[in-house]
Amino acid sequence: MPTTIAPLKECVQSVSANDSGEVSWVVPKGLITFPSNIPGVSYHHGSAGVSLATSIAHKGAVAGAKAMAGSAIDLFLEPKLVIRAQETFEEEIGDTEYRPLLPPDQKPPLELNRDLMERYRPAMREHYLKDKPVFDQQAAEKRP
Amino acid sequence: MSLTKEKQFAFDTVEHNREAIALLCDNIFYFAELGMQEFETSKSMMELLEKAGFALERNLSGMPTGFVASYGSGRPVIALHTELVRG
Repeated sequence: MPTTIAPLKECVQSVSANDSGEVSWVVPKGLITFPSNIPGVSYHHGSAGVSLATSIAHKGAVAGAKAMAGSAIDLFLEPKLVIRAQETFEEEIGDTEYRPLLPPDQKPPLELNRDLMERYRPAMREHYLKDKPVFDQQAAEKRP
Repeated sequence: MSLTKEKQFAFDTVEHNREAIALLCDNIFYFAELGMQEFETSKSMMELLEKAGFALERNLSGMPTGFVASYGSGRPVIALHTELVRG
């Protein structure tokens, strides 16, 4: 698992995607990754889901939240960074006209996994945690 | 970039909520929801964001689990994008 901060580098297209891929054609987008899963597992598989309940994800989520918050603050406080991001984006996009691969009338597959979840959810509910997260915003009063 | 007082404040707030962050992870793990059926996960996230003062836009693109939570106004607009996925 990486324990050091990797240098900032150019983002390249890859085979995995979600809708942030679409966003990257429309506005400047950066990608922050942070270790928060068990090394070597297959993502989107139950084995990777297990990590959520481990100290790996608990620590990783805290570190990742700091990295994302810190990056957003840099952009809020340094207007030059935003201008540079916009310039780089326009340079990279050039004359490319973005056309989504999904047709405009495409509907999300809402039925996917519905039967399975409806069958098992009542039994699963008994195992839901009783403790719910409560975020303390007291600290917000000390905002600089 | 340097560690400004604004950043230190954000880091302290995250650190202060370390246990809540872990508990949110644990809650989502026990929901164990399959793709397109992340109703409990989505509900938890929306409730937490709403409590923190974010304005919610629900049912994004016809997806009952999709939402945008916004805070503040003006520019620049910084968006964080996430999947509701367990791992």
